[in-house]
Order: sequence, then C-alpha cells, then structure tokens
Amino acid sequence: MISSLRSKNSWINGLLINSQFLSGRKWPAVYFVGHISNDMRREKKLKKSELHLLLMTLPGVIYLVINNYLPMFGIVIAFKKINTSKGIFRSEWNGISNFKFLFRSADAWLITRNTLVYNLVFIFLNIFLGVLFAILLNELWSKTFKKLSQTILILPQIVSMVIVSYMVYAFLSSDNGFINNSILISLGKNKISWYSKARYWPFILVFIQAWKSLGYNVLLFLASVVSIDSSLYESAEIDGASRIKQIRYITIPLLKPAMITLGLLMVGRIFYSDFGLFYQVPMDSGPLYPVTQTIDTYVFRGLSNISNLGMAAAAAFYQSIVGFLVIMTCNTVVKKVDAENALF
Amino acid sequence: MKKLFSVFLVIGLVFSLVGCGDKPASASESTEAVIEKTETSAEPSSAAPAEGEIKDVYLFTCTFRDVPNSETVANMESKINEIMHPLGVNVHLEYYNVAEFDAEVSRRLASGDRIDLMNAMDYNYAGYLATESILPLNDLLDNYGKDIKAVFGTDFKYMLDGLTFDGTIYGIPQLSAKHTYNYVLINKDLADKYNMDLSAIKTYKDLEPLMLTIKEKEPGVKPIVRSGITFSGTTAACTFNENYEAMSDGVGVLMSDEGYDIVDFYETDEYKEFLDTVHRWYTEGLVSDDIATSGDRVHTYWQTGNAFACIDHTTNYSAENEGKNLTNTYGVNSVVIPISSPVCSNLIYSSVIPRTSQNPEGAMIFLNEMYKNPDLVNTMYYGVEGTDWNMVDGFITGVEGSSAFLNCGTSQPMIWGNYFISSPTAGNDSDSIKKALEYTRSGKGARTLGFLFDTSEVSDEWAAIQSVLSEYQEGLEFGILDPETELPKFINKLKAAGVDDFIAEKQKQLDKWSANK
Repeated sequence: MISSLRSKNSWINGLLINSQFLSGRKWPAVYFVGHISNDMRREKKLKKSELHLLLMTLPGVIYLVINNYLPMFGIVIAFKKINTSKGIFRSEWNGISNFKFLFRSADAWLITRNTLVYNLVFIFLNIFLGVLFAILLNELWSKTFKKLSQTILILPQIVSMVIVSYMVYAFLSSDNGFINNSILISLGKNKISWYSKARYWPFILVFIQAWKSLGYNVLLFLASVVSIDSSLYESAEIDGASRIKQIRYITIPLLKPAMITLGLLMVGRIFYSDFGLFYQVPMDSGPLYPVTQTIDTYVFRGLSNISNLGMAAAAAFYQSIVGFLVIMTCNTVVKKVDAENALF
Repeated sequence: MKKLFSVFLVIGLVFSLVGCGDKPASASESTEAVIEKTETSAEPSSAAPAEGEIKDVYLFTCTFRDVPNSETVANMESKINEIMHPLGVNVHLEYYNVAEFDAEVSRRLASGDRIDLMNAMDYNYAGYLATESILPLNDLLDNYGKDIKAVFGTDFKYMLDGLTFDGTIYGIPQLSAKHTYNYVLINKDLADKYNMDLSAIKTYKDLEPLMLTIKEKEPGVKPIVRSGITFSGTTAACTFNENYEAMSDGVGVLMSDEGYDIVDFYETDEYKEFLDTVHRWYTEGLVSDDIATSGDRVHTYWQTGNAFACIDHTTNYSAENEGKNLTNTYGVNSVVIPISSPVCSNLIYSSVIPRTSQNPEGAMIFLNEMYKNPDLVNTMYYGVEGTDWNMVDGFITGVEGSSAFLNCGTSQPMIWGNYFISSPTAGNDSDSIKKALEYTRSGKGARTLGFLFDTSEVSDEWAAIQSVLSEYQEGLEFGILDPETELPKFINKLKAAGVDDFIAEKQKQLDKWSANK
C-alpha cells in the first residue's frame, strides 16, 4: 500500500518537473533537487547505481546556472549609462539616476499598491482554492471523472495570456461581445463599456488569474494529499471521525508544510506581476490604468519606445531586491513560529 | 549498458540545449560558390572594392502589412543580387512588421548582433545617436555614395542637412514626396446617397452633421474609423494648426511661426478644442466604444463599405489622385478632401548603418545603387518582374496574390531609396512620378527640420512622460474620457513626470541649434 502511494507520488513529482519546463516557473527544479539531496544524505553514501539519476539533474542545474546565475553580473547595467558601442563594462557609471524614473510618476504609490495587493490576493486565493480542489478531487471515487476534472482544471494553464485576452474580449467587447449583446440586451439593460470602466477590473483580473492557475496549484497540493499515510484515516475512521472531521484534523494540518512552502515561494515574487494578465487582458486600455498598472507594465510603457537598458535593469534590480527582502523577512517569521516549515 | 545509455542521453540533452543559440552562419560561405561566371561579363562599378570579392550585406527593413513569405524573399534576393554581385555585394533581406521592428532592432543592437543596413524612423534617430549605435557616414558617402550626393543636389540638400548633427551625417533620407497634409476620407457612395455637400468640409469639425445623418439613417455603418494611434494617425495631425511643429516627440512643440518658444502641446487651446469635439462625437454615439481596444483601423473597415469617414494624412501630390488610389485599394468609391496645406516637417524614414555592421562599405554601395538604378529600386519596391509584377503600358501591374507586390509595395516605396526613379504603378497617372517630384521640389522644409532633440539628459522624465501618455492619450483623443475632468488630471500627471524640465531642456537645445543655423 505504502509503496504504491510512494510510486504515485513520484509520478506526480515527475509531472511537476515536466510542467515547470512548460510553464516557465523556475522553483520546482530547486524543490526537486533539494529532495534528492535530502534522500542522499539519509542514505549517507552515494550508490553507484544512482549516479545516473543524479546526472539527470544536470540539464536542470545547467539551465539554472545559465539562466539564473550568469545574468546576475548584469546588475551592473542598472548603475551604468549604457552605450552599446562601448559595451557594458566600459560604459560610464551613472550612480542611482537610472532608478529615478521609477518614482517620477505621480502614481508611484498606486503602482506599488496594485502590484502588492493583487499579488497578496492571488497568493491567498491560489492556496485556498488549490487546497479546496485538491481535497475535493481526492474524495472523488470515480477514476475517470477524477482524471477528466484534473484535465479540465489544468487546460487553462497551457493557454497563452494573449489568447486569454481575446477570449475575454469576445465576452466583453461592445460591438460583438457576448455579455453586452446576448445577456444585457435580452435583460433589457444598457450596454456596459467594460474596457473604460475601471471598477469591474479588479474582479475580472482576480477571476482570470484564479481560473488560469488553479489546475497547477491543485496538482501541487494533490501530490501532498495522496502522500498522506492512509493508516491515519483508517484509525480515524475506527474512532468514528466523519469525512469532514478527517479533512479538518488530518488532511489540512498535514498540508500545512506544502502551503507554507508554496506561499513563501510566491511571496518572493510579490513585486513582479504577470505581464500578460495586466497588459494583454485589459487590452492596454488607458482608462483602466488605475487598477491595472503594475510595476512591470509601468516599466514597459515607459521604456518600450526609448529602449533604455539602464533604466529597465534598474527596475528589475529594484524588484528583485525588494522580493529578496520580503522573502527573507517572511522566512524569519516562519522560522520563529514554526521552525520545521521554514524554507531554509 | 542501460547506465551508459542514460549517461549519453543526459549529455545529449545538455548539448541540445547549448546548441540552440547558434546563428546560421552558412549563408556567407555558400554565396561565394553561387556566383556564376556570367556575372564577370557585367561591368563592375569603379566603386567596388576588390574585384571578384563578394561580401554579405544584411539588410533590415520594416513593412506596414504582413512580412512577405520566405520563398518570395529568396526570389527577390536572387534578383537583387544579380544586380549587386558585380559590385561586390550580396544582399540578405530581413523583413519585420513595423509593430515589432523597433523592439527587434533595439534587441539586436544591444546584444551586438550584426545588422549592416537598416531603415530608421525619425523618432528613433536621436536615440540611436545618444547610444552611438549608428555610424557616421561622411567618409562612406564621399567614397561610395557619389550618386546619392548628386541626387540630393541643391534642391533637396535640406533633407541631407536634416540628418546632419554637428557636421556629421548619420543617415540618408529616403527620397520621395515628404510634404504631408491632412485630409478627410469619405465614402462617396454613402455621401451621394444622402446628397451631402462635400465641398463644405474645411476642417475636421465639419464632419459632425454628416456623421449624425449616417448614424441616424445607416445603423450598420460606422460614422468614423481610426487611421492610426488616434483618429488622424498622429497626434501632430490633430492640431490643424498651420504653424505647428512637433519636433519628433510632439510634447514640446512650436505653435507659432515667430521665434522658437516651445510650449506644452497638451496645454494648448487647440488641443482642448480637439478633445471637446471628439468627446462630443463620442457622447453622440458617433465613435465606437471598442475603437481604442480593438486596434482595427481604416483598412479593416473601409473595404467592407461599412465605414463613412476617416481622418488621415498623406504625401500624395494631389488629393484627387489619393482618392483614386484608395478607391483602387479598397474597392470602395472614396473621396479625399484636404484640410491642411502640405509641409515637410520630418524625414520619417532614412537609411542608417548600425555600429554592429561588418560591411559598411557594401551597405553604402547598395544604398548608392538604390538612388540611381531603376531596376534595383523596382525590385526592392514591388518584387521580381515577371513573378510579382508585369510592365503593362509603362505601369507596374501586380500579379494577383503576389506577397511581394502587396506587402512590399505598400511600404518599401516610402522607406528605401529614390522613389522618383521607380516606375508608376497601375491606377496612377502616367506622369504621377514626375508630378510627385515637382510637388516635392516646390515644397519647403519645416523651420526646425534638422533639429534633433537629444533626450539623454532628461531620460527619466521622458520615460515617465511616455507612461503618462500611454495612460491618457488614447482615451482622451478618441473622446472616451471627458476632457473637463480628465484633461487637468493628465496635465498634472505630466507635470509630476517632469514635463517642465523636459521642455526646458528641449528649449535649451533648440536655442543653441537656432543660434548656429
């Protein structure tokens, strides 16, 4: 029984790695490598037969080094007045003046607020919905239906945001949109010009984000749910615990480490925003900026026409530093409260 | 055995990842083998470097419509290279849609990728100078560009001067009719149906009563459609002020013909008046709610016949001729009514040699041919004769379905070389090119032509201003936002973004420039 569970778990882990390459999210690779090295430590000695398993992490590690570590030298660009003919290292130093434009806008506060609040909502909603659906899926007894639901849930994840934006447009546009022309008119109401009314968009964006990332998050939590030792449930059943009580006292407490890990990793990217979601989905409509402008879109709109490398690098540098500080703070807090579940 | 296999698999994976970044470098080797013996019989130009040696020129250009397919491009390259091989140049063409051209070019230039020759838009020119990404052309022009100098002569010298910065020239302007005027485009069938008096149209405001008629009587027809980023293609054209000079950025502008006092365009009365008018149009239901978001422009709607009016601008020597062209293009009876007089305020397209060029001499040799060789110019503009177009009664007549004729023909004659030596296309008057030359010769340049604003001192203000513009410009200029409440907010945000410093810097540079003039 236990061995079958473990094999199921490892199958899901494998799936995670595949999906991380598909979705471009970087962290599960680290997660996976971390797990392997933990196992290794437990067994003390590296068996020869496992060498090729370790070698299989090599592409992932090389990918990480090339894509995540080597570009770090580019940080100097943020402090330079880049001149393409002189190259990066020979260009003149520019102090902190590349950072000025980030705070030049009258909306600097609004932009920061949008980025932070949206991301906070996304983090809580993603974890909540992910756990909820993972538990619900686990309770399903029909295997076919379970697989079907899982597939339906994961499909939006692989649809590009540009396509999503046109799907949304098909619903919301004034001339041909479904909601305006089929629903509101038949109800005898006036058309709403969605793309110029900012008040609807916080809900639309949150809904789309949740719909799009749900399948992925469910998969992460489902991996943890199925790995819970079934003897716990068996003994709870003997003691007369209902299904709800089993979920409340066994499943959710055992999911806590996964929730914390996932939450911490998301918090690290709290100063980044999904560019597709905030730029493509609202169709870059000006009147919606008060609720759709985030740091990424602001930087894009400011710099896309004037191609200033230094300022773009400064913006990215600012985002990473703040993200780094936030994740360090959160991890320290978690460490104080619940040392076992801290990331490092 | 299994173990060994997996090790190889891993190594294979790693190398397949690493291999991705390589650039196809085979082009340069293979071409040398391709050169045929027959070409040596063609007379080599005196400008060619070493005899028999053929070097590559990688040319980047943008198109306004789709990019021509690879088969077409290969055909054009071989035809162009028939002409260019005797001069020691082998041309590779790379097309990008105008929407992605800037991003592609700046990415390539920043990463040091090779581009030997490309077209530049006027609004990028100052940026290229600030980052020193393009080469000075004085020596190249003296050595390999004699025909270019001869073509510009004295009549068009002001155009060459327009791209000269402190005595150094960095770009060769494309030579065609450069004098722009604004016009109103009207669907003639609809206008005739309701007996409209089109001669009464003198400004964009006169459209309103006509559009109201259309809205009332033809519910399926869009009274007005957009032609560009705003109704009239550029913000510049919105002003309808004869003395307006945008000086590339369009934020700090001249509004009078006396002195050189720059004003903030968005604070002028003309701008407010324009916004009030279009907002009234919007509240009257003349403007579609989707106009800003859908991105569909005049060419999407006009051919269906379900659009009534559009404001645009052109460089055509006669409005009547432009109307005829548009009727041919869209298959809908169209009238063009000018609402301003022609001015050459900028040079829009020019050819530049980036610093990443590995063959600047070859690039200049090719460019020189583009100003004197009609065969080369026709091929570059419309594709290969016999495949993409045929010469019928002295007119270039496109072959049905030719990707080159459709996609290059709508853009390249405005972007590259000397339009005045190309052949007229079908549907034009036989002397249309001669008339265009006269039209251009008679026109004069704007007062600030040749002034380039270097934004490097105010780059953070400029970036912040761009961000504010993208927030308000569309909403205001399509009339969706109410100027009574939103215009003051817009102006305040521009001030917070540092528009005053931006204009002060521009004024300083303009004063210096005008003192040296």
